[in-house]
Amino acid sequence: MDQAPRIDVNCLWGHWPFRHIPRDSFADLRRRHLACGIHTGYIASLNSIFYADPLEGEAELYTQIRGSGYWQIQTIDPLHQAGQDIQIGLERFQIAGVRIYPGYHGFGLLDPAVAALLAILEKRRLPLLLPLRMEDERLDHLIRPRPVDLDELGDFLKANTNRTIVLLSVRLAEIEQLKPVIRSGRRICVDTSGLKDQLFSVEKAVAAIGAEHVLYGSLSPLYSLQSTVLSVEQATLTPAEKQAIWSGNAMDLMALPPR
Amino acid sequence: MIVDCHAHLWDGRFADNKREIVTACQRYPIERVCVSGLGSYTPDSDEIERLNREVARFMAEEPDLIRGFCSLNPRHPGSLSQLRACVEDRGMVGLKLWVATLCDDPLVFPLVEQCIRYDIPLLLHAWHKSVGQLPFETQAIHVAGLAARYPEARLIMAHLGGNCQHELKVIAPHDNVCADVSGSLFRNGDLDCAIRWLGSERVLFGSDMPGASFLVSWGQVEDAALAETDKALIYRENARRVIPGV
Repeated sequence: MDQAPRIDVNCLWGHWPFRHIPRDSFADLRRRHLACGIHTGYIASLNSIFYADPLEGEAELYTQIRGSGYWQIQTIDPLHQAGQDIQIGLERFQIAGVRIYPGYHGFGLLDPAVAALLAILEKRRLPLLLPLRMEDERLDHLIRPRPVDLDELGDFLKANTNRTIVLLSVRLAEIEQLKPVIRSGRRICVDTSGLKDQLFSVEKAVAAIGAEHVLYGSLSPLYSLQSTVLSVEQATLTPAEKQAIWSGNAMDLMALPPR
Repeated sequence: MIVDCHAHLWDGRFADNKREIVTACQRYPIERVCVSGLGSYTPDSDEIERLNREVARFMAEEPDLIRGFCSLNPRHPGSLSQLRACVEDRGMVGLKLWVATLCDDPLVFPLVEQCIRYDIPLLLHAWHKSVGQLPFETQAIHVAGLAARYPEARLIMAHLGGNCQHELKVIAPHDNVCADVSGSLFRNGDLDCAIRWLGSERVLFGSDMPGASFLVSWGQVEDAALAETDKALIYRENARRVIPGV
């Protein structure tokens, strides 16, 4: 195992209501992270996606991770009191970023409410984390979230090339389609958790958009932590590229407060 | 070392696919790969011959590494002859069925009976999908029907049936059915689910490379709470038991 610090930008805690998830406590996550050399992560609440008031999920998450060195990423529905919720998130939970779920919460990325949210994030110097999916769409159960439209996503990114935006669980084919706009935004990145298709998918993503646009993320505990760890560990990349993916890009992009 | 029971050469991409599979075998702890050819959903006989010929070439080019599975479209009257040629002349060690028919279609029965005579397994694509289910895409209920009709057949249900929570319990009563973990599935808990329903003796390692990453399947096994003996079964011992010559 190389010695570069490792940060998981896409980890989760809470209850996923559609199937049994083994080893899903925060203690499990930390233990498994440490076994893989990952010392911290940006963690979001699964409960907040589904709660009528996401702040209740955020409070639960905060009690779990307080003092752990993990950064809380707040789930926001841009259609409902986003500014107020972010203010509370900063004050009570010291959030380090915001996640939005267009497919679950029923809004488009070009909705004015999203533009308003981005203005708040800019003012607060918070990154936006945007999961394109939470499960393989073929395996969705009960709820079938509206897929993020790639043309709409492209337009959204084009209009925000100066923002810090991390696309989570993106497929390689989607990266290929979006690569001009990803490359055009110095602070637009993808995480590794969606790179499950094709051999050498991390290498291919780096070839498409450059290592400076790739962050390590696992989507754990929904998905196998080791699968994403191996995808970077085993990638044929330079040590500098791997270090950037494991943590360097995250530390540069996210303007993280010290823990 | 790992025996990968599920990989493909895709029509029109033979050279690239071969190069990537061989490279993967050089980089990762892979001992053997079972390869079949895939192309269109309902391939004609020319396409089938092209796919199987290319798999046979790959076997000859990499004799220590590659084992071949014969691809067929059961709707073709010449399927049985193609199977015989692939096994008897080209040395293939299994039959792969994809989405041209459901696996329990009567058109498949003569092929299953011939596989029983050859003592070789059938690798059955199977996916239960919430979106995009193909009209002749096998699900576990079809695999279970075939297993009940032919209890002496060796059947491998690919991809844990896609949605393992939905599918594995259906095949669990049929001891002649194993399942593989191929197909870019790496949800935490899927392998635990497979062990719970099938036991570690009925789970095979597969990747579906080069269309899927070998690493996600490898990581899924490493991530599961398994004893080393169970991992050894999944990585290679079960494949050696079910697939001759690997």
